[in-house]
Amino acid sequence: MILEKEKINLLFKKPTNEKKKVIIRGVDIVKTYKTGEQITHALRGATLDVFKGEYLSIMGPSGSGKSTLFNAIGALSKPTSGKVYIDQVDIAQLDTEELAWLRCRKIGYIFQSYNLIQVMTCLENVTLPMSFAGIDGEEAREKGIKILKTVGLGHRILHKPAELSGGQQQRVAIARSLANSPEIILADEPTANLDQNTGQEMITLLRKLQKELNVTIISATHDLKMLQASDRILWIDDGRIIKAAKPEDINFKSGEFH
Amino acid sequence: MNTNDKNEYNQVKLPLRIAMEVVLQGIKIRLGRSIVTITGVICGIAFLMSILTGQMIKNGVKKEDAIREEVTRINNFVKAEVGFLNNKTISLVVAGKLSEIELRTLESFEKEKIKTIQIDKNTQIDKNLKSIKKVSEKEFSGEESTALFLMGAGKIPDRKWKVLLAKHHPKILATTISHAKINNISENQLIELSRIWSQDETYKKLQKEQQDKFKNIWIGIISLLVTVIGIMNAMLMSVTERFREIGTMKCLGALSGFIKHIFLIESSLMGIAGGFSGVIIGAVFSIFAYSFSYGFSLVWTSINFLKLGEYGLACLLIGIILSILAALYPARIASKMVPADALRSNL
Repeated sequence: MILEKEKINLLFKKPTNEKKKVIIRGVDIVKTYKTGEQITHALRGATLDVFKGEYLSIMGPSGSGKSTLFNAIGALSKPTSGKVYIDQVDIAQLDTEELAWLRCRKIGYIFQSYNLIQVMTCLENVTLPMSFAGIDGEEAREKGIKILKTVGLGHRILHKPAELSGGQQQRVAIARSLANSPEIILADEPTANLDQNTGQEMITLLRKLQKELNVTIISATHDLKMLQASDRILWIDDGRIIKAAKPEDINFKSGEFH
Repeated sequence: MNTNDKNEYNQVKLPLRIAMEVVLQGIKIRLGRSIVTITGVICGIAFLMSILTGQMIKNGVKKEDAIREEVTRINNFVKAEVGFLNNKTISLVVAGKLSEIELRTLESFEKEKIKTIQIDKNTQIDKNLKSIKKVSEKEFSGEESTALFLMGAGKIPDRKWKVLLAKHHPKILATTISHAKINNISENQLIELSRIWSQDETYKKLQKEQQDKFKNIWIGIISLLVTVIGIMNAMLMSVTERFREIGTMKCLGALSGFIKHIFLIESSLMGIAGGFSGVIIGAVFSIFAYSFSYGFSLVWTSINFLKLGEYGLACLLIGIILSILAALYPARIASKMVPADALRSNL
């Protein structure tokens, strides 16, 4: 359980408590897409701080720039302008190899549609990022089995993703995101393809992992349950972050602020 | 905590072994899709190979046909000059190496049940014929010899031509008259056996050859193009339909090189498998198809196996190289892709 004092601290963008370390800092992120003649402004200057060990939810209607913001702070694409610092490193300064290093060891990704490698077993899906980090063979195998057990799939390690249910696939994806013990986990609408109960299980699992492993979780979501579970919520609309709140401030029946 | 130190960013360069494992697994699991891709390669290479083999067979058959026709003509001509050859003895002056037509003519004499073909004991014939008998100069062209032949395009050996001519009505049957300009033999003492081409005929023959040559080159180019496009299409599809997987791997920390390796290994494996099967299928198909129209034995004798091997090797190489080249471009695009874009593509 998080103490009341800490919750209040988490609410604000600027850390009032010096112990809270900023792990991702986005400054004035702008992203525009050009499709032919048409220019789309996906992000119009988003600024945010993510603190180490927190569970942050990003909420917004579709087309608000949520996914774009996600890709930008997850080093999956470079912003048109503005800066993204991950662990105090400006990712614009990194070349492709260094970015690959960062994605491999610092960040774990969870996607709405799981994005498992269909041709590999669960275990191989989990050990693949390990082999990218240079861990191979028996060591990777043992670690992979251990992580799969943690997410409750110890009995399914040699199954192919196609043989599993959506919830189980998402568990594999969570296990994979944890493969190289990252500091940050980015989850892009992880419950959107799952039913109510399975979604709830996923949230509980993520919450548990966040507490046990002290990882930072950033998730984009529509799911009110996911909002409820988070430490802090950012609202994004029309490419800008418009509000920050804690779960207590939200009327979950209407989905509105107090 | 701050890892701004560049050295720490050195991503692990994966050994090819892991890429190989990923590829083999991919081919195994996506067997249906892999077979479609490989079939694309097989079709292209089989087509090219069958065209090449077919042309080789056609040329061989044409050549064989011409030889057979010429041999029959000479045989008939000889029969008209000296009567039936069964149980008869002829004398043969061998001037150097005998041509295919000359050897086959001798063979046809044997089929007519000729008794003996006398040759000088110092001369040599490349073919093993039962009726050939090596004799001394004294015995050569004795009483029982019905005809005197001169064959070979080489140097004509010294002979007592006057004596020989006197015995043989007095004529010499020669296959190559231009080489028979021997001292003391006038042209009317020689009977030309080989066909003399008129100027018109030679011109027409040359024209036909030229036309055939252009036609062959044209068919070769077209079939190569068909092969290139078939293989390119198969490889492009196999890469583009996996953009999402590439994006995922990049998110997990795969380097561009690893992605490129995966596709290049896969395409070269497919090139080897497809090329190899294509060569065999193409050659076998072509041989069978031509056997239907020409008969198997004629087709089989007209196959130049060394050339067939060369064609096969060339087609295999073309298959592998084209597969790699065709995958190179999409693999480059895939490896350079920003992960966010690769993930977004929904093919």
